[in-house]
Amino acid sequence: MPRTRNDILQGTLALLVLKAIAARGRMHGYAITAHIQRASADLLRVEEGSLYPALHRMAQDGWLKAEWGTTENNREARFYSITPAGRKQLQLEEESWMRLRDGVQRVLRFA
Amino acid sequence: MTWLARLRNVFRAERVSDEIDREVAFHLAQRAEELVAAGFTPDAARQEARRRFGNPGHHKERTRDRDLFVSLETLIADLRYAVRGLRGAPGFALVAILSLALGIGANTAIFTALNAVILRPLPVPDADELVYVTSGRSETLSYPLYERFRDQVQSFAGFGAVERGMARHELSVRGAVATDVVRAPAVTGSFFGVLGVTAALGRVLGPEDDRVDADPALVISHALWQRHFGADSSIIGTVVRLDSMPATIVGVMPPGFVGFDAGAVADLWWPIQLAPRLDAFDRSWAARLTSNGVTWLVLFGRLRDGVPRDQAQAEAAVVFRQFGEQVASDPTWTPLDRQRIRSETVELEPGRAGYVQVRRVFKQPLFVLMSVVGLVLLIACANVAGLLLARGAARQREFAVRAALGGGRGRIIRQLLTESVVLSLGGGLAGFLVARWATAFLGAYLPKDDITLALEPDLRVLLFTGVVSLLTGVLFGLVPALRLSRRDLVTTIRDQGRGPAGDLRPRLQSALVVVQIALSMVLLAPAVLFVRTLQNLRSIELGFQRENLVALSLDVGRRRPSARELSDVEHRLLAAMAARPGVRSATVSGAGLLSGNGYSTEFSVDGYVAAPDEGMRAYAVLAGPRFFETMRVPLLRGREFNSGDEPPFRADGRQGRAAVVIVGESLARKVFGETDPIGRQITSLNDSLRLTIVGVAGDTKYREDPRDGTPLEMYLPYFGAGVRMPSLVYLRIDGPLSAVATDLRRVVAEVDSRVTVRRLATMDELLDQVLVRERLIAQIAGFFSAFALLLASLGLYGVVSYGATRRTREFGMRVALGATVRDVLGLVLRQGLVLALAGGTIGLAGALAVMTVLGPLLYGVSSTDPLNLAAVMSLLLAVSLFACWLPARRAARVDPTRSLRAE
Repeated sequence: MPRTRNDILQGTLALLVLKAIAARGRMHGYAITAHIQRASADLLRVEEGSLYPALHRMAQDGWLKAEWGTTENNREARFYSITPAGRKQLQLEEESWMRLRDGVQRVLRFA
Repeated sequence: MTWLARLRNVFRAERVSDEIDREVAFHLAQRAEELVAAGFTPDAARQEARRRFGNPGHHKERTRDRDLFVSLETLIADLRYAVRGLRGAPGFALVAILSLALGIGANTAIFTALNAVILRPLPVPDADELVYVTSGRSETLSYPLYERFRDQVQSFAGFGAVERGMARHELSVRGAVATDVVRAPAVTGSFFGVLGVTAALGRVLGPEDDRVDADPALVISHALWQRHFGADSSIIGTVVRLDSMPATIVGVMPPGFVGFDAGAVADLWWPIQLAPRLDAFDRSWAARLTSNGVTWLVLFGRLRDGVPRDQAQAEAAVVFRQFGEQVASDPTWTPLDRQRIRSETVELEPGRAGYVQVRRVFKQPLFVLMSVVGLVLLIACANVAGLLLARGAARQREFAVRAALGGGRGRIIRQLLTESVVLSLGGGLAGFLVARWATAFLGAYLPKDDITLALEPDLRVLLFTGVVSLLTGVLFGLVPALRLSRRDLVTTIRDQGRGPAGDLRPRLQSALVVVQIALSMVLLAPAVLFVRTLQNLRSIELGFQRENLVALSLDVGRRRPSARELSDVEHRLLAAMAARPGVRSATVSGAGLLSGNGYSTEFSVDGYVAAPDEGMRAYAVLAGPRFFETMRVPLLRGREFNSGDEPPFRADGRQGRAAVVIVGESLARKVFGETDPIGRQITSLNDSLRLTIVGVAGDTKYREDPRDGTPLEMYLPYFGAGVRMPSLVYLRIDGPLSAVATDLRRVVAEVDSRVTVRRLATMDELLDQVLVRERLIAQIAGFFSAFALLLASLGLYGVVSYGATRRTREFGMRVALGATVRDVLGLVLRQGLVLALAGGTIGLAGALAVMTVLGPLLYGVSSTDPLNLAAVMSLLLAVSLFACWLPARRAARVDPTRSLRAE
């Protein structure tokens, strides 16, 4: 797959997803997508399908717990909640992201 | 999603797929709803939702990859597919698995034997540090030599010795009526220490047991503990009696301990220093500890840390030479003997697998056989590869479609390889069963009396079988897989419309058949040589008549009768046995013919001056009355020994020495030329006795190996020889041994109840035991080369058959244009014979190369014997012709109108 401009975003997807779930609690995939979109004031738009491999991977790594449930409209959906390990990972990702942001800013300011 | 969950999901793949579908569907539905609410039409909303989502198939697959192990899933799918495919072609599967089973099974069986005899390491720590000592002539050495090595060779961290062989003794427990005969070798006190093992119960023997006045201590094996003592946990301290010596059991070894003599697993071990006390009736035990002439021990040691074997060997060689000098300095040796003693050397063999007596005999044959079965397996592989190619031709369409749908070539290759491995693993499993049976068959070649070798498959053998099966599958599967996955898609799918499977030219299959035929030639030519070698050996002129000759050895028990008693018993036995119906005549011999044992003495003859390098040493056996009549050794002059030659018993109970001798033909001719030697005298220098020649007999062979032409030079009278040697009763019988065997045993019991028959065998059986190597190689190589030829000819049949079928149209046309049946026959046969000739010629070259190294294994035949090669080639061509005959006949019978119409 050729690298798209979204790939940088993919790398931080885990961070965004964890933060979203940590902030809003138990959510299904669609809600996570919508939340990221809204919270970023539409600045971030992920290819929505790529969320799911990431969600499943994070469930495999033990950062999220997945289970089937029903929405308010009585539809079946798969809900994800964050685990303690996930919270820890979130903290690490946040710190990593801060370092990245600071580093990039410094380089940009240097010019 | 844990690792375990991913593994489990491989088997729930459909459910996993479903779940992902539902999750994605939900997402799309939500997005569509939202878009509709924003003003989209339902259709447009769905489209936009899909667009934003991305390629659902792609994302679904990636998600699925997260949820289960894809590679495992593919493997399982391939396996299922392969098994299904094989079930649909049971004939093919059966043939393939059978050929593979025989090939793999044979390899496993030979490897099991190799493992038991050569490879299997002793279950002791750091077995690589162990070495054992052999001299050029023999693998057993004397106790004085053990002491010398123990004391002087610094390279050994520890040194020990163990009695070789079955070492049978009587074990009696107080209160029990019957005694048990156990295998009880004598060991030095250092034995267990050098091996580095401890007892499971109690203690092992140690340096404190290495004194002649020590309290007799015994260590018993786990098996004996269970079998004889009922695994009684209070066994330690039990007093038993070993022969006539009371002893205490001080230890029980753990199960699986085999000592150092891995081929003769013992029941118990006793301290060697107690030898003089062991048997009150047998004085010879004391001599075993002091005489250098008694070589009864296997000497072994553990190398010191960091000392390489070469260094230890160099040191041992020096010590051994000094020892030899000391022994040779004894003035009673003749110069010839002294030279012989000085020229002996020692070697240190790796002791990792312990000592196995039959290793010397079987090492070379086993390696030869390993090569043989390896080649057979290769042939089986080529055969199955050909079968796969033929079968694959019918599946061209399937592969083409798969390729068109995007299945990469690698994927197809992987699937085909999976099929091959399924076949070969099936063959391996079946082969394992074949091996069990074949190993039992091999075990029949081992001399049962002398060794107990466990031909059981252990972990190493299982691993070997598994690896061989796997490699076999890849080997025969690779070429067909590469071939079948490489097809021009378009033409294949188009071609399927007309006629039989594509135009897959059978060039590859022909090449495979040529390979098979060549390899069978490589097996066949030497096999014929081996069989002829065996025949030659079996029919060597021995100097006496072998048919209907039976040898019987007696056991007089431990209470040794006096010389007079024994003589009396033997006379009565001979008379009683000769009187039985079915027995022509009976005689007795000391050492017997073809034993290599015997009596040898330096001699001189009045008036005969020997050349300076001429050895005046004669080998002799003891011959009883009617010896020459029974053995059918021709008496050229003079007479047999009779009762007149037997001197009376002296006052001290020992018999006087007879003063007569019968000489062999060669000796007579050498010393006396053409003159009659009857009445002349020979002086036996060993006992300074003058012997009168009373007869001249034809030459017989002396050594155990019939190839050794050393003739027997002298016969001394059995009754009155004055020397004791293990005696053999020879009987000339009418008819098979089974008819008189029980009768003979009864006669022995009747004459004297203390005497039992230890062994009863025909001369042919005894000779077969000597020739066991040659028998093993000839019979097994013969069998497998025949099997190889069968496989190759089946392959040839397949290829010729297929080729003929392909050309049905062509034949139809030819016949229509006037060709005769003969012409068509000729066409088909030509194709087959070309292959056979090609394979045969290549195989011939290969066989010649192989046979140059086989020289030492042959007898009476040359490895480049042109007659042999011509015969084998003819056999090959004849069999090939037969294999081509059926398809040729079928092709020649074709009805031209039918074949042309079926277009």
